[in-house]
Amino acid sequence: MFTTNCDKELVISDEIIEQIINQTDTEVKFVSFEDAPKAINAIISITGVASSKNGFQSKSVDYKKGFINLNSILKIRNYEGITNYSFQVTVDNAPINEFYNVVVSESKNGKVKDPYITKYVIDEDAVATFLENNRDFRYFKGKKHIIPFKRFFDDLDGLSNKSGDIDPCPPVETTIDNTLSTGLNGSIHNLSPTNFLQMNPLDYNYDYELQQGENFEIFLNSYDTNTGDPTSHTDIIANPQVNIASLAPTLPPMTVSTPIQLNYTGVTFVSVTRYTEFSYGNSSGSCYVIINKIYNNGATSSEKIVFECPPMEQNLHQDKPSKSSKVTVDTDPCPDEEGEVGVNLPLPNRCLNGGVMVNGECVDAPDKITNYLTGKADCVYGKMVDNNNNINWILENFEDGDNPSDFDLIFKMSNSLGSLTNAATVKIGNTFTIKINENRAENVNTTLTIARTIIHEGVHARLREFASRDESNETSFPGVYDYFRRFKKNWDHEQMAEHYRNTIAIGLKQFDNGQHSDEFYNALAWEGLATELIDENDPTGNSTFITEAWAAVQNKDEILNIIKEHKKNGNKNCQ
Amino acid sequence: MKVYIFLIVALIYSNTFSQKVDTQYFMINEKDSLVTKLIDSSDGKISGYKIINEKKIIKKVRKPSNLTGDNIEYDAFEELFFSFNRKNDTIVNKHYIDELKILKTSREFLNLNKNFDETNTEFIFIEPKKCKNFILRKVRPIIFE
Repeated sequence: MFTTNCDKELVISDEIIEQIINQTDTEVKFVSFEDAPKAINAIISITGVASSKNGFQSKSVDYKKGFINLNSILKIRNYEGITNYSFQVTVDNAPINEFYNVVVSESKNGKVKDPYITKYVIDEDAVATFLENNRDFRYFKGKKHIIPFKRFFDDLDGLSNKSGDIDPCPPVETTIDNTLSTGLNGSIHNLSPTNFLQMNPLDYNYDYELQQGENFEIFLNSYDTNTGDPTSHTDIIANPQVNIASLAPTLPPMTVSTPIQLNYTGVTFVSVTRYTEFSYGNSSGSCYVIINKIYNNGATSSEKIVFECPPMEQNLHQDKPSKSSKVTVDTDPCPDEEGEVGVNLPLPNRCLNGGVMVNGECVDAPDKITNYLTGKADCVYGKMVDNNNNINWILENFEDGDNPSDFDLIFKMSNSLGSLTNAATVKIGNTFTIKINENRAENVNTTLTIARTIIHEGVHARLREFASRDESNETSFPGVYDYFRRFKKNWDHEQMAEHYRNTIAIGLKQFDNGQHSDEFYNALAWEGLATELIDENDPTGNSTFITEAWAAVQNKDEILNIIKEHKKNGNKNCQ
Repeated sequence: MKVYIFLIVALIYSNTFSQKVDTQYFMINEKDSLVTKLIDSSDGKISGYKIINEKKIIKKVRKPSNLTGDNIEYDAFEELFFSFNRKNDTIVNKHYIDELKILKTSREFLNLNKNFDETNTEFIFIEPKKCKNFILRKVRPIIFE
């Protein structure tokens, strides 16, 4: 499988290796309407006002004979800070072998480029397999077209260029075949250097026990510099990065790392394909590495890094195979891909409007808890859930199917909260989102403080879930209604201070394995409830008040000192 | 021998100094519109200050006016709150103040602090009073959740 000419190793510059290593900064996730305002504004500036069908959960843009789904947006920000947002586009009477994305690119400095369309056309002989495998992009074989936004929709309306003028922006076409190499049981034979690889993750030695993600295979292709034949090497690397010590002879040692954040957004595999592409007869040409990632949730991305070609043996050039079928390089000033562009697939298990596919039909998804936490916060939350902490009971109503309500809960990090705000719980539509201040979690707070914050916010979500149910009334939840009647906007802090401090203290003691006295945990439970709240009912916004429960406390200084002492000396590491 | 004694003393002083909690003194300027003194709370003992950081935009969350409504997130200048208890106030004269290194603008105060970590720093706000007297007021940053 491998050639053995060690004398002909090509050299990739340090800059390129550095670029590849820096892939760890790549961020891939699905975001919602509210998280992509600039991209959505760029679309709306062309199409007009976004429509809202059936509330916030169904934001979409109706435009001509298609509509753009604004709910489930695939966001990929690469290591250079370039962000691409991919939106699903549904088109009336679209052929079964086509699907479409709107892509909006945002530069590092926030400048947004014009939206464009990526159109995917599956080859006839691959349609059945692609559909049978739930539109998994690893089974995609066909063409990708980049089309100016307006022209795409004009074509749908039959308004395309009928004058016969030369098109100033001819569509860019790329051939993609992810079906050539199945890599059965880890073996790779005769890899095509012109295509990304298609691999079944189940065929490999994935380690699902890893906390941060899986091991994954990496595949390196290149041409043998003597014969021009494709060569390849495969190795298992673990997250976050492992040196690949032994490589195919034509490749130098290379370190590759990929971002693995959470299982559901983790990379299932990465293929790195290194091309050398020369224009024969002269020394010019281009060399590049393509990194192709497929994530557990079906998202894919690819990125091409161009670098200076290493010297080739001159007497071998005439033997090189034609490279005409390689991935097209878009040099057109019209729509142009930049950074990593995701493929937002119309997966059956990701119906529009947050639904799921059951027996071929989209139905409302059962409520669930989604964890997007990272770092210490993720570590603390994971320990709490795994160790039967009472957070499981507090949040039970968010993961019990649709009984008794259908509210979802999301945990995520935030960099936009105030310097002195540990967390916030936000309800929009049927989704509660607990946002944890990333800076405070990573750099300021102890693990016990993070646990307390998670319980505190969990109680917020629980109480508001009670209040938000369709059948909620003064009879079903008298406490909630009583506190709201008496305290208005701060009803939940008042109720928590009076009735849930013991719940918080028990959760802290469980998390901490009871290393301290009950007095200690009871004191910590006051944090967030002992401090003065801003009275939002005061039109000046300048008044403060304290919860009734805290006002009645006699030993305030003692409690505050315990909290302060813990902040100073408590454990800040989570392993 | 004297050298050894000097080194030991220096070492002890160095260790002591490195563990010492830093104290920041911030003079409240009544004309600074970015600093607001908060009115007394219900028990009349705890009050506070609000400082607006006009250099930082954050997401604030507005609570709904009913039980079932949605939150509204909006961009706003960061507001930092500090509480104090009047019973801990200290009155000093100008001679005492002259010996202190004092931050005189809210910008200086905000630039100096990122996380307002009260475990490493003691925050003392100073309010001028009549007859060249001043109130030294120990404040605590208020953490929100």
